[in-house]
Amino acid sequence: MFILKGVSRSFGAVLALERVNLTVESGKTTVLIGPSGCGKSTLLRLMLGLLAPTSGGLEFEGAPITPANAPALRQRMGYVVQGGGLFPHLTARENVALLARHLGWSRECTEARTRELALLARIEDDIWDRYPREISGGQGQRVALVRALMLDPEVLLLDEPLGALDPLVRADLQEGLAQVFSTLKKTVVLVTHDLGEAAFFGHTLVLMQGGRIVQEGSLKELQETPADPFVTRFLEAQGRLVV
Amino acid sequence: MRKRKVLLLLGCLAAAFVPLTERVDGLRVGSKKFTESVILGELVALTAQEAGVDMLHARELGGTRIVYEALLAGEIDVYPEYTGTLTQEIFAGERIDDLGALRERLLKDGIIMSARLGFNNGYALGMLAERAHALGIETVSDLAGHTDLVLGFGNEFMDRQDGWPALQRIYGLPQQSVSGMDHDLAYRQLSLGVIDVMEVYTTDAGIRYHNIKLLRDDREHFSLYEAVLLYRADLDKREPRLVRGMLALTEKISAVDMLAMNSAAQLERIPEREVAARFLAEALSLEVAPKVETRLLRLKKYTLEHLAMVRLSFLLAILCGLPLGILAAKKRRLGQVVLALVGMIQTIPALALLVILIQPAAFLGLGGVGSGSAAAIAALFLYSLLPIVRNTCEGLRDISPDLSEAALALGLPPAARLFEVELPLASRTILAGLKTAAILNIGFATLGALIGAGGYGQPILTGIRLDDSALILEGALPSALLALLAQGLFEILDRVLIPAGLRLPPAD
Repeated sequence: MFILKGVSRSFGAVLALERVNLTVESGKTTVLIGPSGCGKSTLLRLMLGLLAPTSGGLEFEGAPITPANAPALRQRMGYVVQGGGLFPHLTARENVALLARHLGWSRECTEARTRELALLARIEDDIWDRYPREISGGQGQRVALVRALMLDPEVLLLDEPLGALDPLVRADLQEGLAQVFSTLKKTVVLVTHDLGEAAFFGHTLVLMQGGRIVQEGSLKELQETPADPFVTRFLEAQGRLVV
Repeated sequence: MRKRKVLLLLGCLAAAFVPLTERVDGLRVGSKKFTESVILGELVALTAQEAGVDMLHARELGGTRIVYEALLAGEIDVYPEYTGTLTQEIFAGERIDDLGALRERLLKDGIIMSARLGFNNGYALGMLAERAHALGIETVSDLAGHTDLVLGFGNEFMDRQDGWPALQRIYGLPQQSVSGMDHDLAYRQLSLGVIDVMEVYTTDAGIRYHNIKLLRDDREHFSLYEAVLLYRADLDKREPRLVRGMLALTEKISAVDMLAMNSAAQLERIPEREVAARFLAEALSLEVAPKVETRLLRLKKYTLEHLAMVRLSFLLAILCGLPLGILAAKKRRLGQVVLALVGMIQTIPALALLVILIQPAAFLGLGGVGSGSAAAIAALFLYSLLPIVRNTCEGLRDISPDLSEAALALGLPPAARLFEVELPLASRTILAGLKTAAILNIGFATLGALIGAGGYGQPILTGIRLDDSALILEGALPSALLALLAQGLFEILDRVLIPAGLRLPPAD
């Protein structure tokens, strides 16, 4: 789905990513994990074409991502920003339908697709005419997920989807997301700093530190054959949560 | 919701083009902003009415420069002027020795100078009659013998080439105690005995009021300021009846007549039009019934003029300000330049801006002065830009990066991002900018009267000139009310245009 070759990105004098090579496989869930500031969110933005690499190249489905084709490619990707990014001036329904309306979808078609996804994401009927400020955080995230899935994208990218939620909502939503992923059989790239979450979702974990990928593999591989002492340290620091 | 907004916008646009004031394309007489000039303007307007010619009086257009330029540009067809002003101010630096030369010089500009109206309104020195009598002073030369007299002159007179410095030299005046002050204040100082001698204009109403004796200019230092009418050379062809009618005024107005008329207007507060009508009846046996304007009719006229100015300038400011604000938000470097420019405009004094804009407005064939003045509208437009541009820019820049990114990542095209996401999110800040601009605009529009654009500034200016507080309030109160109304209107607009979702309290 994505192939990254020697991708570097700096902001001024700060090198946020350094010669990253990564292949994201279709139909799998890949989790980018690492301490804050390790470059995982930057990597996600590069994949979306929201940022251009300073050097190196990215491919999406065999085509290089350039500033020129990024807007078109983004319509084939679903993205949930940290905190959901729902537009506060639109109701949940309008948020979800915004892009579809622009692409000239019929109202019936949009409604049908919304209902289908709402069922999947377990969204209650009565929230659709409410504004984001009237919706709880967990429900908001589900609406954001539906918005990202509206056009049936080939890949779903999520930045800390469970970020600021309280533990009960979090557990519930975690289940919900996992169910959506498996039902739709989508390629998923998910960013988190939480190992429990990573282990729950991820087929492949990509552990990052200081703008580099330290190790890539299943949780088991990371535990049994750590590539670097940092891997063990990171797993141990959070590992108590994982059985 | 969407439909309502579109209807609202269309309504506003339509309302912006309904004509409010009648444009008078006929003849116009202009006057400067002091009482005597206004009375002379009324005299011309009344003779026109008597001759059956439609003529508008563009009152109190401003100073000499503005009115003369307006005549050159054909904004007005005739106005009263003084020969001394022409030689000393308009043609300063050109050698013009006598009236014949002046007449020829004016003709080169396509302007005809009438014969003298009959009086001279030049400079003279004056003393309280009683005091002059006690000291036995009759002429300016007599002052030389009284070293301890205190002299007080208007600031302009202190600096003018033909003012105090020349006077002192020619008459060899020895007085040490000479100070500059406001001209109107000098009258008060004189009557209180703080100063003994001041300069006056020979037909000032104050001369009669304070019983001032004019000292004879025995060495003929002061230039003659003979009152004349200046009119465009083509007027004779266009409206011979008018020219015949107004030229009947020449050699008919003596200094005593003018002084009496000035006093009637200034001291007894009789409207200039009525003063002029009475004079025509007495001196020329012309019975002209001046059209009487009731206070209500006047108020309606001012309101319509004011609204016309505010409306067009504000609409233009929105049409230019919003795109400029968007541009400033999107292109940082260019944005700095745009913001600096509109900020700079704000620092230009209003009168300077108005005067600067008269020429280009006339050049473009737009009305420079008078009601519907393009110069006034352009100035108001420029003043309204800053709050609109700045708030639009800031509103857009303040959008949370998460939301901008969400819009971008969603794959919305740029235009859709702007109209569906960014502008609605910035709507509160943008509307606040519009509100500020509207209120500023309504206040500033009173300054339009400085170049004869009318509106609520007109009674304010006249009130200041006549020292009449009631007249000042006649302009100031409605102007304040209009500003309040605009404020209220925008509160309503807030409810319609700010999306409901943004008016909710933020979720915790």
